[in-house]
Amino acid sequence: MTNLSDVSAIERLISGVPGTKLDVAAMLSHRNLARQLDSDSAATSSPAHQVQPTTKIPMRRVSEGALVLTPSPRRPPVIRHFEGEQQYEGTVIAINLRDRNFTARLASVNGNAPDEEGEFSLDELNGDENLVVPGALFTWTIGLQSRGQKGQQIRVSDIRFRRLPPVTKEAIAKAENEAEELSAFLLRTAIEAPIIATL
Amino acid sequence: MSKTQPPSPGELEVSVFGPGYGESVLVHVGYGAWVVIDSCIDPKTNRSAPLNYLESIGVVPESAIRLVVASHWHADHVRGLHQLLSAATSAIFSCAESLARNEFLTLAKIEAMEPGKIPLGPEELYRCLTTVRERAETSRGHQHKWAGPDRILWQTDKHAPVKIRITTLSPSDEMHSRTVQTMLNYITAVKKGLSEPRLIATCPNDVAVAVLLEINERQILLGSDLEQESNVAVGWSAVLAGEAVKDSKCCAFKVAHHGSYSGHSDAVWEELLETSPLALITPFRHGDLRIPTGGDRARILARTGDAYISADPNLSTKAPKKSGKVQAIMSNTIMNRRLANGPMGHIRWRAPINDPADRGLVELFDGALPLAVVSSAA
Repeated sequence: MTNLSDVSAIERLISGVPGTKLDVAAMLSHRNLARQLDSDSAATSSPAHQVQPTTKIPMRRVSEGALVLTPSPRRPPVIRHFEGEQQYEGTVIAINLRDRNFTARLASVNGNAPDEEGEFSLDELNGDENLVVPGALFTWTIGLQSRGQKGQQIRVSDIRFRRLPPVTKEAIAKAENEAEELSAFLLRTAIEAPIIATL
Repeated sequence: MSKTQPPSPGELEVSVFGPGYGESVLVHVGYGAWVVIDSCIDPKTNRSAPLNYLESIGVVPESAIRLVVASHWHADHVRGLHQLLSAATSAIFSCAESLARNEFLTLAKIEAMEPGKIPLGPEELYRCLTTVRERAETSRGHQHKWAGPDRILWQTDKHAPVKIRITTLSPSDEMHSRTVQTMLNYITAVKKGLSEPRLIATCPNDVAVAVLLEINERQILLGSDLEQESNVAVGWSAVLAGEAVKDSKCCAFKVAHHGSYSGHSDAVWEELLETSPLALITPFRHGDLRIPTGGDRARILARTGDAYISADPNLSTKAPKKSGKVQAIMSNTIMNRRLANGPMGHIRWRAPINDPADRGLVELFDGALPLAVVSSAA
């Protein structure tokens, strides 16, 4: 089994696929997505990703940085490329456990469209439920994925919560230093007396 | 009157902007001088709504905006504030002092390291305070003053054609202490990895800056998101115990906290306001929250029939459809997809400064409406 952290192994595995542009580092950064997509391809498709097969669509160009690959004992189809068609950044506003959904505000990553809102089922998340707290950030991507030897295309919807790494001590110390400096200046120089203005 | 016609020099204007999520109050205090409290983003242009409006009526923000107040750090009150302040190069900036303390600024700075596309507010305020510092370090001198209880921010000199005094009424000392402690606890939790480094708006609002405007004989109360608690040292109780409002009878009120019950105080209506004052409200439409509720509206309308709201809190506009197959898959994933905001509703009140008996003219633009005709909740 190929080790997903082994860049050269992945490069070897997909070498020889004609017309494929590789960005293995990006692949590795997308390995969670790859695993998720792999599970979608199984016969028991997960409800987390609404998948509509769209066969007979000619294969499109490879989208840079979006190639994903997942080796598996079940030999799933190789994902040749992923082309995002619509992407939102979302933030959780509220969680409704009774109805098993959460409300989110969505900002389109594509252009300057106005913000949107809507409800998502918690059952869509496949293990990310514990990350759903007010203010949590996620991305919602709809895109075309082509995989398998024949480049079959399917459209996928993927919700992915941002797993923020704990803020490092160094980052906190840096923020504290900058904040302290700014604060000291502002507190020292604030105007005390009422401002008398002319019109 | 045309929306793009500026007020005359002797005309008071209070403009309240709010598209559903967001609030800004813009005041022409007379003779070309403007004061801005908070900012929100016009969904059409993605720019600061008060800045858009000033430019549309031919006002030059560089010289005309004299004072910018950030009433607190919540995103619905500060989006676009940095853009506004950047344009208002002559303005004095004011906010609660607790927001210039290490504790808040550290959290704001941490958030700025991983900014989201939907900002939460602290990062915007951090940028404003950085601009204040840059200006102070250059030729413009010191340009900031902290808001607090009974604190006169700005007033005209004795030769001015209009007597203007702008006083902040909050946050109280107790609110200041609570904020600093809350932020300190938050940083400790972040350091221990117990909390995400993103500040989320919580209640009660301990930094809200309420403002009293006195323009000749008129008094106007701008309530920000100040709330009422049983603790007399905080919120409206603390304001009512202050000196600045001792003889106040305000003719107009920017109703506190979007008309919600938590921002309501009977004593404010009875002691600080005239009978049936002009009430100006922005809604809070965020997720399932729809404020003011039917009960809130009834409570306000029992106090005054002269009440207006910048947008219908119960309005829900479907988001534009995407192309066929993308739309189909989106519909399978998201329920009740809608625009977060409607148009940038705008209530404009103008009245002659020298005639306090003249109640002036209220104009409603782009979805603003009388409170009495707001639709029922769906």
